Amino acid sequence: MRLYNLAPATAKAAVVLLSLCLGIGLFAQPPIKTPDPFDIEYPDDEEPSAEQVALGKVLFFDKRLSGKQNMSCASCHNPDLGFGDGFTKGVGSNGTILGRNTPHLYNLAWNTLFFWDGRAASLEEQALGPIQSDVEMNLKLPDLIERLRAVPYYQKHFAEAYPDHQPAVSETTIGHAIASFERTLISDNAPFDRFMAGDTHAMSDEARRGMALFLGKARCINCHNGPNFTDNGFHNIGVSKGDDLGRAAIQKGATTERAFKTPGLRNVLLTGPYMHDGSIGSLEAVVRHYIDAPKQSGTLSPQMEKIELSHLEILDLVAFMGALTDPIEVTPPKVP
Amino acid sequence: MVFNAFRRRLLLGCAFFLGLLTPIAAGEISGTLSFEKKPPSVGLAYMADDHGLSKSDNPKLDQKDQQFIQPMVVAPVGAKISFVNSDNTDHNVYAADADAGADFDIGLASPGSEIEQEVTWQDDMVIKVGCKIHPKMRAYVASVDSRYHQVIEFDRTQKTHNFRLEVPASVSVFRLWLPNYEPVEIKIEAGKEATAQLIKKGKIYGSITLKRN
Repeated sequence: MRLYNLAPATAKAAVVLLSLCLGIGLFAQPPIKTPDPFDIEYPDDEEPSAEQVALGKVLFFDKRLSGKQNMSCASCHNPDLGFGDGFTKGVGSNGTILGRNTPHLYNLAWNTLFFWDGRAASLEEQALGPIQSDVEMNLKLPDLIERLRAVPYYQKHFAEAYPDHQPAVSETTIGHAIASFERTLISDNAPFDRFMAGDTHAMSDEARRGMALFLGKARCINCHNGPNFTDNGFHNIGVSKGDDLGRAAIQKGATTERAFKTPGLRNVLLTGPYMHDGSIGSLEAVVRHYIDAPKQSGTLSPQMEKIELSHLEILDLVAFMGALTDPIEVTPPKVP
Repeated sequence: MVFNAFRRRLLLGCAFFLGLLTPIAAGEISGTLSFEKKPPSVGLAYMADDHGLSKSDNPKLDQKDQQFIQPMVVAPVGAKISFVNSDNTDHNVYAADADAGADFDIGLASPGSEIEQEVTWQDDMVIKVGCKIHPKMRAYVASVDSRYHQVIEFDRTQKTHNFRLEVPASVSVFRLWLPNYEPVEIKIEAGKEATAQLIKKGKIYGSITLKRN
Protein backbone atom coordinates (compact mmCIF):
# COMPACT_ATOMS: atom_id res chain seq x y z
CA MET A 1 0.00 0.00 0.00
CA ARG A 2 1.41 3.36 -0.92
CA LEU A 3 -0.24 6.05 1.12
CA TYR A 4 2.06 8.82 0.09
CA ASN A 5 0.47 9.77 -3.19
CA LEU A 6 -3.13 9.69 -2.06
CA ALA A 7 -5.43 12.67 -1.66
CA PRO A 8 -6.52 13.25 1.97
CA ALA A 9 -9.99 11.72 1.47
CA THR A 10 -8.55 8.66 -0.19
CA ALA A 11 -5.81 8.54 2.41
CA LYS A 12 -8.42 8.46 5.15
CA ALA A 13 -9.99 5.40 3.59
CA ALA A 14 -6.53 3.92 3.26
CA VAL A 15 -5.85 4.52 6.95
CA VAL A 16 -9.04 2.66 7.83
CA LEU A 17 -8.03 -0.19 5.54
CA LEU A 18 -4.49 -0.20 6.92
CA SER A 19 -5.83 -0.23 10.47
CA LEU A 20 -8.03 -3.17 9.58
CA CYS A 21 -5.08 -5.00 8.02
CA LEU A 22 -2.96 -4.36 11.09
CA GLY A 23 -5.78 -5.24 13.43
CA ILE A 24 -6.66 -8.55 11.87
CA GLY A 25 -3.05 -9.50 11.45
CA LEU A 26 -2.61 -9.67 7.70
CA PHE A 27 0.96 -8.77 8.49
CA ALA A 28 2.69 -11.58 10.33
CA GLN A 29 4.00 -9.45 13.15
CA PRO A 30 2.15 -7.89 16.06
CA PRO A 31 0.58 -4.74 14.59
CA ILE A 32 1.98 -1.28 15.14
CA LYS A 33 -0.64 0.80 16.89
CA THR A 34 -1.23 2.99 19.90
CA PRO A 35 -0.41 1.09 23.12
CA ASP A 36 -3.30 0.05 25.33
CA PRO A 37 -2.94 0.76 29.08
CA PHE A 38 -5.04 -2.35 29.71
CA ASP A 39 -2.11 -4.46 28.51
CA ILE A 40 0.27 -3.15 31.17
CA GLU A 41 1.26 -5.97 33.51
CA TYR A 42 1.56 -4.43 36.96
CA PRO A 43 3.21 -6.50 39.69
CA ASP A 44 0.47 -8.61 41.26
CA ASP A 45 -1.98 -6.78 38.98
CA GLU A 46 -1.92 -3.83 41.39
CA GLU A 47 -1.82 -0.43 39.74
CA PRO A 48 0.39 1.84 41.86
CA SER A 49 -1.14 4.60 43.93
CA ALA A 50 -0.54 8.28 43.21
CA GLU A 51 1.53 8.44 46.41
CA GLN A 52 3.79 5.62 45.25
CA VAL A 53 4.33 7.27 41.85
CA ALA A 54 5.07 10.66 43.44
CA LEU A 55 7.53 9.07 45.85
CA GLY A 56 9.21 7.24 42.98
CA LYS A 57 9.60 10.49 41.08
CA VAL A 58 11.42 12.11 44.01
CA LEU A 59 13.68 9.07 44.37
CA PHE A 60 14.39 9.15 40.63
CA PHE A 61 15.81 12.65 40.97
CA ASP A 62 17.55 12.19 44.35
CA LYS A 63 21.36 12.03 44.28
CA ARG A 64 21.30 10.24 47.64
CA LEU A 65 20.88 7.13 45.54
CA SER A 66 24.57 7.17 44.60
CA GLY A 67 27.52 6.49 46.89
CA LYS A 68 29.06 9.93 46.43
CA GLN A 69 25.64 11.60 46.29
CA ASN A 70 26.60 13.06 42.95
CA MET A 71 24.28 11.10 40.66
CA SER A 72 20.58 10.30 40.48
CA CYS A 73 18.69 8.06 38.06
CA ALA A 74 17.90 11.25 36.13
CA SER A 75 21.61 12.01 35.68
CA CYS A 76 21.82 9.32 33.00
CA HIS A 77 18.13 9.00 32.17
CA ASN A 78 17.74 12.73 31.65
CA PRO A 79 14.15 13.66 30.69
CA ASP A 80 15.51 16.53 28.59
CA LEU A 81 17.72 14.15 26.60
CA GLY A 82 15.15 11.53 25.70
CA PHE A 83 15.68 9.84 29.07
CA GLY A 84 19.25 9.14 27.97
CA ASP A 85 22.45 11.07 28.44
CA GLY A 86 23.45 11.83 24.86
CA PHE A 87 26.74 10.00 25.31
CA THR A 88 27.97 7.04 23.31
CA LYS A 89 28.24 4.99 26.50
CA GLY A 90 27.00 5.69 29.98
CA VAL A 91 29.22 7.31 32.60
CA GLY A 92 29.32 6.12 36.22
CA SER A 93 29.43 8.26 39.35
CA ASN A 94 33.22 7.83 39.51
CA GLY A 95 33.63 8.89 35.89
CA THR A 96 33.95 5.32 34.64
CA ILE A 97 32.88 4.87 31.04
CA LEU A 98 30.39 2.01 31.05
CA GLY A 99 30.15 -0.79 28.53
CA ARG A 100 26.91 0.18 26.85
CA ASN A 101 24.73 3.08 25.79
CA THR A 102 22.16 4.37 28.29
CA PRO A 103 18.76 3.06 27.19
CA HIS A 104 15.74 5.34 27.08
CA LEU A 105 12.76 4.83 29.40
CA TYR A 106 9.79 5.43 27.09
CA ASN A 107 6.86 3.04 27.45
CA LEU A 108 8.73 0.54 29.59
CA ALA A 109 5.37 -0.21 31.22
CA TRP A 110 4.82 -2.73 28.42
CA ASN A 111 8.34 -4.14 28.40
CA THR A 112 9.26 -7.68 29.38
CA LEU A 113 12.96 -7.88 30.21
CA PHE A 114 15.27 -5.00 31.06
CA PHE A 115 18.80 -3.85 30.27
CA TRP A 116 20.32 -4.39 26.82
CA ASP A 117 20.92 -8.04 27.75
CA GLY A 118 17.59 -8.58 29.51
CA ARG A 119 19.18 -9.54 32.80
CA ALA A 120 16.41 -7.97 34.89
CA ALA A 121 13.02 -9.66 34.81
CA SER A 122 11.09 -6.68 36.14
CA LEU A 123 11.30 -2.91 36.19
CA GLU A 124 11.55 -3.11 39.98
CA GLU A 125 14.64 -5.32 39.71
CA GLN A 126 16.12 -3.08 37.02
CA ALA A 127 15.64 0.06 39.09
CA LEU A 128 17.84 -1.31 41.86
CA GLY A 129 20.59 -2.58 39.55
CA PRO A 130 22.48 0.63 38.68
CA ILE A 131 22.28 1.84 42.30
CA GLN A 132 24.28 -1.18 43.46
CA SER A 133 26.66 -1.42 40.51
CA ASP A 134 30.14 -0.38 41.63
CA VAL A 135 30.82 1.29 38.28
CA GLU A 136 27.51 3.12 38.19
CA MET A 137 25.95 4.64 41.32
CA ASN A 138 27.98 2.47 43.68
CA LEU A 139 25.78 2.35 46.75
CA LYS A 140 24.88 -0.75 48.74
CA LEU A 141 21.16 -1.04 49.35
CA PRO A 142 21.43 -1.29 53.17
CA ASP A 143 23.35 2.00 53.11
CA LEU A 144 20.70 3.56 50.88
CA ILE A 145 17.91 2.41 53.18
CA GLU A 146 19.73 3.87 56.18
CA ARG A 147 20.18 7.16 54.32
CA LEU A 148 16.53 7.40 53.35
CA ARG A 149 15.26 6.47 56.81
CA ALA A 150 17.21 9.41 58.21
CA VAL A 151 15.24 11.87 56.07
CA PRO A 152 11.91 13.01 57.60
CA TYR A 153 10.36 13.46 54.15
CA TYR A 154 11.03 9.84 53.26
CA GLN A 155 9.93 8.56 56.69
CA LYS A 156 6.58 10.26 56.16
CA HIS A 157 6.03 9.49 52.49
CA PHE A 158 7.18 5.85 52.50
CA ALA A 159 4.83 5.24 55.46
CA GLU A 160 1.96 6.88 53.59
CA ALA A 161 2.67 5.19 50.28
CA TYR A 162 3.28 1.73 51.75
CA PRO A 163 1.08 1.46 54.87
CA ASP A 164 1.06 -2.37 54.63
CA HIS A 165 4.86 -2.67 54.55
CA GLN A 166 6.93 -2.98 57.67
CA PRO A 167 9.46 -1.49 57.51
CA ALA A 168 8.14 1.00 54.99
CA VAL A 169 11.58 1.86 53.59
CA SER A 170 12.99 -1.33 52.08
CA GLU A 171 14.55 -2.69 48.91
CA THR A 172 11.09 -3.78 47.81
CA THR A 173 9.41 -0.41 48.31
CA ILE A 174 12.31 1.60 46.86
CA GLY A 175 12.32 -0.53 43.71
CA HIS A 176 8.53 -0.48 43.50
CA ALA A 177 8.31 3.30 43.86
CA ILE A 178 10.93 4.04 41.20
CA ALA A 179 9.44 1.49 38.80
CA SER A 180 5.96 2.88 39.43
CA PHE A 181 7.14 6.35 38.39
CA GLU A 182 8.93 4.94 35.35
CA ARG A 183 5.74 3.16 34.25
CA THR A 184 4.05 6.55 33.96
CA LEU A 185 6.50 7.66 31.25
CA ILE A 186 4.07 6.92 28.47
CA SER A 187 4.28 8.36 24.99
CA ASP A 188 1.15 7.59 22.99
CA ASN A 189 0.09 10.71 21.14
CA ALA A 190 2.67 11.00 18.39
CA PRO A 191 1.69 12.05 14.85
CA PHE A 192 1.65 8.30 14.08
CA ASP A 193 -1.01 7.71 16.75
CA ARG A 194 -3.13 10.58 15.46
CA PHE A 195 -2.72 9.29 11.92
CA MET A 196 -3.85 5.83 12.97
CA ALA A 197 -6.82 7.42 14.73
CA GLY A 198 -7.90 8.85 11.38
CA ASP A 199 -6.20 12.25 11.22
CA THR A 200 -4.75 11.93 7.75
CA HIS A 201 -2.93 15.23 8.05
CA ALA A 202 -1.03 14.14 11.16
CA MET A 203 1.83 12.65 9.18
CA SER A 204 3.71 14.24 6.28
CA ASP A 205 3.86 12.66 2.84
CA GLU A 206 7.43 11.62 3.61
CA ALA A 207 6.40 9.95 6.86
CA ARG A 208 3.55 8.11 5.12
CA ARG A 209 5.94 6.82 2.49
CA GLY A 210 8.34 5.86 5.28
CA MET A 211 5.61 3.95 7.07
CA ALA A 212 4.91 1.90 3.97
CA LEU A 213 8.63 1.13 3.70
CA PHE A 214 8.83 0.34 7.43
CA LEU A 215 6.07 -2.23 7.07
CA GLY A 216 7.27 -3.54 3.73
CA LYS A 217 10.43 -3.27 1.73
CA ALA A 218 12.69 -2.13 4.57
CA ARG A 219 11.55 -4.97 6.87
CA CYS A 220 11.90 -2.86 10.01
CA ILE A 221 8.66 -4.50 11.12
CA ASN A 222 10.49 -7.82 11.51
CA CYS A 223 11.67 -6.70 14.94
CA HIS A 224 10.29 -3.21 15.55
CA ASN A 225 6.69 -4.29 15.80
CA GLY A 226 3.80 -3.99 18.23
CA PRO A 227 2.51 -0.81 19.87
CA ASN A 228 5.94 0.25 21.05
CA PHE A 229 7.82 -0.78 17.92
CA THR A 230 9.74 -3.57 19.64
CA ASP A 231 9.30 -7.32 19.68
CA ASN A 232 10.91 -7.27 23.13
CA GLY A 233 13.33 -9.75 21.63
CA PHE A 234 17.08 -10.20 21.31
CA HIS A 235 18.86 -10.17 17.97
CA ASN A 236 22.39 -10.11 16.65
CA ILE A 237 22.28 -7.21 14.22
CA GLY A 238 25.99 -7.08 13.54
CA VAL A 239 26.93 -4.22 15.84
CA SER A 240 28.79 -6.17 18.53
CA LYS A 241 32.30 -7.05 17.42
CA GLY A 242 34.20 -6.94 20.72
CA ASP A 243 33.96 -8.95 23.93
CA ASP A 244 30.35 -8.10 24.62
CA LEU A 245 28.33 -11.27 24.07
CA GLY A 246 25.05 -9.56 24.91
CA ARG A 247 22.18 -11.85 25.78
CA ALA A 248 24.44 -14.94 25.63
CA ALA A 249 26.14 -13.84 28.85
CA ILE A 250 22.77 -14.22 30.55
CA GLN A 251 21.17 -17.04 28.61
CA LYS A 252 23.03 -19.54 26.47
CA GLY A 253 21.41 -20.63 23.25
CA ALA A 254 21.68 -20.83 19.51
CA THR A 255 20.10 -17.43 19.13
CA THR A 256 21.55 -15.35 21.93
CA GLU A 257 25.19 -14.77 21.00
CA ARG A 258 25.86 -11.06 20.46
CA ALA A 259 22.13 -10.51 20.57
CA PHE A 260 20.82 -7.36 22.22
CA LYS A 261 17.34 -6.21 23.07
CA THR A 262 15.29 -4.53 20.38
CA PRO A 263 14.75 -1.00 21.66
CA GLY A 264 11.31 0.54 21.29
CA LEU A 265 11.20 3.33 18.72
CA ARG A 266 8.82 5.76 20.36
CA ASN A 267 10.61 9.12 20.56
CA VAL A 268 13.58 7.53 18.81
CA LEU A 269 14.45 10.92 17.33
CA LEU A 270 15.30 12.07 20.86
CA THR A 271 17.28 9.06 22.03
CA GLY A 272 20.50 9.07 20.04
CA PRO A 273 23.19 7.96 19.77
CA TYR A 274 21.90 4.55 18.77
CA MET A 275 22.61 0.84 19.20
CA HIS A 276 23.67 -0.92 22.41
CA ASP A 277 27.11 0.64 22.20
CA GLY A 278 25.99 4.05 21.00
CA SER A 279 28.17 3.60 17.96
CA ILE A 280 25.78 5.15 15.42
CA GLY A 281 24.99 8.81 15.70
CA SER A 282 22.05 9.38 13.37
CA LEU A 283 18.92 7.57 12.28
CA GLU A 284 20.00 7.82 8.67
CA ALA A 285 23.20 5.97 9.55
CA VAL A 286 21.18 3.40 11.48
CA VAL A 287 19.12 2.64 8.38
CA ARG A 288 22.31 2.39 6.32
CA HIS A 289 23.63 -0.15 8.85
CA TYR A 290 20.62 -2.37 8.18
CA ILE A 291 21.36 -2.18 4.46
CA ASP A 292 25.09 -2.87 4.82
CA ALA A 293 25.37 -5.36 7.69
CA PRO A 294 23.54 -8.32 6.10
CA LYS A 295 25.91 -8.10 3.11
CA GLN A 296 28.98 -8.30 5.34
CA SER A 297 28.17 -11.06 7.81
CA GLY A 298 26.39 -14.37 7.54
CA THR A 299 25.96 -14.89 11.25
CA LEU A 300 23.36 -12.26 11.94
CA SER A 301 19.82 -12.78 13.11
CA PRO A 302 17.65 -14.18 10.29
CA GLN A 303 15.46 -11.13 10.87
CA MET A 304 18.21 -9.10 9.20
CA GLU A 305 16.97 -9.61 5.68
CA LYS A 306 18.97 -8.19 2.81
CA ILE A 307 17.37 -4.94 1.74
CA GLU A 308 18.10 -2.18 -0.73
CA LEU A 309 16.84 1.35 -0.26
CA SER A 310 17.45 4.52 -2.22
CA HIS A 311 18.67 7.65 -0.48
CA LEU A 312 15.17 9.11 -0.71
CA GLU A 313 13.67 6.00 0.83
CA ILE A 314 16.13 6.20 3.71
CA LEU A 315 15.03 9.77 4.33
CA ASP A 316 11.39 8.71 4.20
CA LEU A 317 12.04 6.05 6.82
CA VAL A 318 13.69 8.62 9.05
CA ALA A 319 10.68 10.89 8.53
CA PHE A 320 8.39 8.09 9.68
CA MET A 321 10.52 7.52 12.78
CA GLY A 322 10.22 11.23 13.41
CA ALA A 323 6.45 10.78 13.37
CA LEU A 324 6.81 8.61 16.46
CA THR A 325 7.77 11.67 18.48
CA ASP A 326 5.64 12.63 21.48
CA PRO A 327 7.99 14.08 24.10
CA ILE A 328 7.22 13.62 27.76
CA GLU A 329 7.77 16.68 29.86
CA VAL A 330 8.84 15.95 33.41
CA THR A 331 9.22 18.77 35.89
CA PRO A 332 11.90 17.80 38.39
CA PRO A 333 10.43 17.57 41.88
CA LYS A 334 11.79 19.28 44.95
CA VAL A 335 14.21 16.78 46.43
CA PRO A 336 14.26 16.87 50.27
CA MET B 1 2.85 -68.12 19.64
CA VAL B 2 -0.77 -69.26 19.34
CA PHE B 3 -1.37 -68.47 22.96
CA ASN B 4 0.23 -65.09 22.48
CA ALA B 5 -1.93 -64.38 19.44
CA PHE B 6 -5.05 -65.44 21.33
CA ARG B 7 -4.06 -63.32 24.30
CA ARG B 8 -3.38 -60.32 22.06
CA ARG B 9 -6.81 -60.67 20.44
CA LEU B 10 -8.40 -61.04 23.87
CA LEU B 11 -6.63 -57.93 25.13
CA LEU B 12 -7.60 -56.01 22.02
CA GLY B 13 -11.20 -57.12 22.47
CA CYS B 14 -11.21 -56.04 26.10
CA ALA B 15 -9.61 -52.74 25.19
CA PHE B 16 -12.26 -52.17 22.53
CA PHE B 17 -15.02 -53.04 25.00
CA LEU B 18 -13.54 -50.75 27.65
CA GLY B 19 -13.00 -48.12 25.00
CA LEU B 20 -16.72 -48.13 24.28
CA LEU B 21 -17.48 -47.65 27.95
CA THR B 22 -15.00 -45.10 29.18
CA PRO B 23 -15.73 -42.04 27.03
CA ILE B 24 -19.34 -41.93 28.18
CA ALA B 25 -19.57 -39.02 30.58
CA ALA B 26 -21.72 -39.75 33.58
CA GLY B 27 -22.12 -36.14 34.55
CA GLU B 28 -20.82 -32.64 34.46
CA ILE B 29 -19.05 -30.22 36.70
CA SER B 30 -19.94 -26.61 36.09
CA GLY B 31 -17.69 -23.99 37.59
CA THR B 32 -17.58 -20.24 38.04
CA LEU B 33 -14.35 -18.38 38.58
CA SER B 34 -14.58 -14.87 39.99
CA PHE B 35 -11.52 -12.62 40.11
CA GLU B 36 -11.19 -9.41 42.06
CA LYS B 37 -8.75 -8.02 39.50
CA LYS B 38 -7.66 -8.87 35.98
CA PRO B 39 -7.68 -12.66 35.57
CA PRO B 40 -4.63 -14.56 34.38
CA SER B 41 -4.41 -15.44 30.70
CA VAL B 42 -5.04 -19.15 31.12
CA GLY B 43 -5.92 -21.86 33.61
CA LEU B 44 -6.25 -25.63 33.73
CA ALA B 45 -9.15 -27.52 35.29
CA TYR B 46 -8.82 -31.30 35.54
CA MET B 47 -9.86 -34.38 37.43
CA ALA B 48 -6.72 -35.54 39.18
CA ASP B 49 -7.90 -39.09 39.88
CA ASP B 50 -8.02 -40.09 36.24
CA HIS B 51 -4.85 -41.28 34.55
CA GLY B 52 -6.06 -42.43 31.17
CA LEU B 53 -4.70 -39.77 28.83
CA SER B 54 -2.83 -41.41 25.98
CA LYS B 55 0.89 -40.83 25.57
CA SER B 56 0.60 -41.19 21.84
CA ASP B 57 -1.60 -38.20 21.09
CA ASN B 58 1.42 -35.95 20.42
CA PRO B 59 -0.14 -32.54 21.03
CA LYS B 60 1.10 -29.60 18.97
CA LEU B 61 2.09 -26.20 20.26
CA ASP B 62 2.09 -23.81 17.32
CA GLN B 63 3.60 -20.36 16.87
CA LYS B 64 2.33 -17.60 14.62
CA ASP B 65 2.51 -13.80 14.61
CA GLN B 66 5.14 -13.97 17.33
CA GLN B 67 2.77 -15.70 19.71
CA PHE B 68 2.06 -19.24 20.81
CA ILE B 69 -1.31 -20.02 19.27
CA GLN B 70 -2.37 -22.22 22.20
CA PRO B 71 -1.74 -20.84 25.67
CA MET B 72 -1.30 -24.35 27.06
CA VAL B 73 -0.97 -27.95 25.97
CA VAL B 74 -1.62 -31.00 28.12
CA ALA B 75 0.64 -34.01 27.69
CA PRO B 76 1.40 -36.86 30.08
CA VAL B 77 4.94 -37.91 30.93
CA GLY B 78 6.28 -39.97 28.04
CA ALA B 79 4.26 -38.13 25.39
CA LYS B 80 5.95 -36.11 22.69
CA ILE B 81 4.97 -32.51 22.07
CA SER B 82 5.48 -31.06 18.60
CA PHE B 83 6.62 -27.46 18.61
CA VAL B 84 5.45 -26.11 15.27
CA ASN B 85 6.63 -22.84 13.79
CA SER B 86 3.90 -21.55 11.48
CA ASP B 87 5.34 -18.07 11.65
CA ASN B 88 7.41 -16.36 9.00
CA THR B 89 10.18 -15.70 11.49
CA ASP B 90 12.59 -17.88 13.45
CA HIS B 91 11.63 -18.99 16.91
CA ASN B 92 12.92 -21.13 19.71
CA VAL B 93 11.22 -23.02 22.51
CA TYR B 94 12.84 -23.65 25.84
CA ALA B 95 11.98 -24.40 29.44
CA ALA B 96 14.04 -24.04 32.56
CA ASP B 97 11.98 -25.15 35.53
CA ALA B 98 14.16 -26.63 38.25
CA ASP B 99 11.20 -27.60 40.47
CA ALA B 100 9.69 -29.74 37.72
CA GLY B 101 13.03 -30.97 36.43
CA ALA B 102 12.27 -29.52 33.00
CA ASP B 103 15.28 -28.20 31.16
CA PHE B 104 15.22 -28.25 27.37
CA ASP B 105 15.98 -25.99 24.43
CA ILE B 106 14.97 -27.01 20.92
CA GLY B 107 17.44 -24.54 19.37
CA LEU B 108 16.65 -22.41 16.36
CA ALA B 109 13.29 -23.33 14.89
CA SER B 110 12.98 -22.05 11.34
CA PRO B 111 9.67 -21.11 9.75
CA GLY B 112 7.76 -24.27 8.83
CA SER B 113 9.72 -26.48 11.19
CA GLU B 114 8.23 -29.01 13.59
CA ILE B 115 10.43 -30.20 16.44
CA GLU B 116 9.45 -32.88 18.96
CA GLN B 117 10.20 -32.80 22.65
CA GLU B 118 9.38 -35.67 24.99
CA VAL B 119 7.82 -34.89 28.33
CA THR B 120 10.51 -36.27 30.61
CA TRP B 121 9.99 -34.12 33.64
CA GLN B 122 7.93 -34.57 36.77
CA ASP B 123 4.33 -35.71 36.54
CA ASP B 124 1.48 -33.36 37.40
CA MET B 125 3.35 -30.11 36.91
CA VAL B 126 2.72 -27.06 34.77
CA ILE B 127 5.83 -25.50 33.29
CA LYS B 128 6.29 -22.28 31.38
CA VAL B 129 7.87 -22.43 27.94
CA GLY B 130 9.23 -19.43 26.12
CA CYS B 131 11.19 -18.25 23.11
CA LYS B 132 14.71 -16.97 23.70
CA ILE B 133 14.42 -14.68 20.70
CA HIS B 134 11.06 -13.24 21.71
CA PRO B 135 10.77 -13.28 25.51
CA LYS B 136 7.24 -11.93 25.45
CA MET B 137 6.08 -15.23 23.97
CA ARG B 138 4.99 -17.65 26.63
CA ALA B 139 2.85 -20.74 26.94
CA TYR B 140 2.45 -23.59 29.38
CA VAL B 141 2.84 -27.34 29.21
CA ALA B 142 0.95 -29.42 31.75
CA SER B 143 2.36 -32.89 32.43
CA VAL B 144 -1.09 -34.14 33.36
CA ASP B 145 -2.47 -37.56 32.41
CA SER B 146 -6.14 -36.93 33.05
CA ARG B 147 -8.54 -37.33 30.15
CA TYR B 148 -10.96 -35.03 31.93
CA HIS B 149 -9.27 -31.69 31.62
CA GLN B 150 -10.00 -28.32 30.17
CA VAL B 151 -7.67 -25.47 29.32
CA ILE B 152 -9.51 -22.27 30.20
CA GLU B 153 -8.57 -19.19 28.18
CA PHE B 154 -9.68 -16.10 30.04
CA ASP B 155 -11.01 -12.95 28.47
CA ARG B 156 -8.94 -10.61 30.59
CA THR B 157 -11.52 -7.84 30.37
CA GLN B 158 -13.99 -10.01 32.30
CA LYS B 159 -13.79 -10.84 35.99
CA THR B 160 -16.21 -13.77 35.98
CA HIS B 161 -15.77 -16.91 33.91
CA ASN B 162 -17.80 -20.08 33.60
CA PHE B 163 -16.65 -23.50 32.46
CA ARG B 164 -18.01 -27.01 32.18
CA LEU B 165 -16.16 -30.28 32.48
CA GLU B 166 -17.73 -33.58 31.51
CA VAL B 167 -16.73 -36.23 34.03
CA PRO B 168 -17.58 -39.90 34.65
CA ALA B 169 -18.90 -41.09 38.01
CA SER B 170 -15.55 -42.76 38.79
CA VAL B 171 -13.65 -39.50 39.41
CA SER B 172 -14.14 -36.90 42.10
CA VAL B 173 -10.89 -35.01 42.70
CA PHE B 174 -11.05 -31.67 40.92
CA ARG B 175 -7.94 -29.52 40.55
CA LEU B 176 -7.48 -26.01 39.25
CA TRP B 177 -4.15 -24.54 38.22
CA LEU B 178 -3.69 -20.83 37.56
CA PRO B 179 -0.28 -19.19 36.95
CA ASN B 180 1.22 -17.78 40.17
CA TYR B 181 -1.81 -18.88 42.20
CA GLU B 182 -1.86 -21.62 44.79
CA PRO B 183 -3.34 -24.79 43.25
CA VAL B 184 -6.89 -25.59 44.25
CA GLU B 185 -8.04 -29.15 44.97
CA ILE B 186 -11.66 -29.97 45.73
CA LYS B 187 -13.22 -33.39 46.22
CA ILE B 188 -16.69 -33.19 44.79
CA GLU B 189 -19.35 -35.88 44.44
CA ALA B 190 -22.47 -35.88 42.28
CA GLY B 191 -25.21 -33.56 43.47
CA LYS B 192 -22.81 -31.46 45.56
CA GLU B 193 -21.54 -27.90 45.43
CA ALA B 194 -18.26 -26.49 46.69
CA THR B 195 -16.47 -23.16 46.91
CA ALA B 196 -12.80 -22.29 47.40
CA GLN B 197 -10.70 -19.16 47.45
CA LEU B 198 -8.17 -18.26 44.77
CA ILE B 199 -4.98 -17.26 46.55
CA LYS B 200 -1.86 -15.62 45.17
CA LYS B 201 1.12 -14.72 47.36
CA GLY B 202 -1.01 -15.29 50.45
CA LYS B 203 -3.74 -12.85 49.37
CA ILE B 204 -7.23 -13.72 48.22
CA TYR B 205 -7.75 -12.71 44.61
CA GLY B 206 -11.00 -14.48 43.87
CA SER B 207 -13.06 -17.62 44.29
CA ILE B 208 -14.19 -20.73 42.48
CA THR B 209 -17.61 -22.32 42.83
CA LEU B 210 -18.29 -25.83 41.58
CA LYS B 211 -21.54 -27.67 41.07
CA ARG B 212 -21.71 -31.33 40.05
CA ASN B 213 -24.82 -32.93 38.68
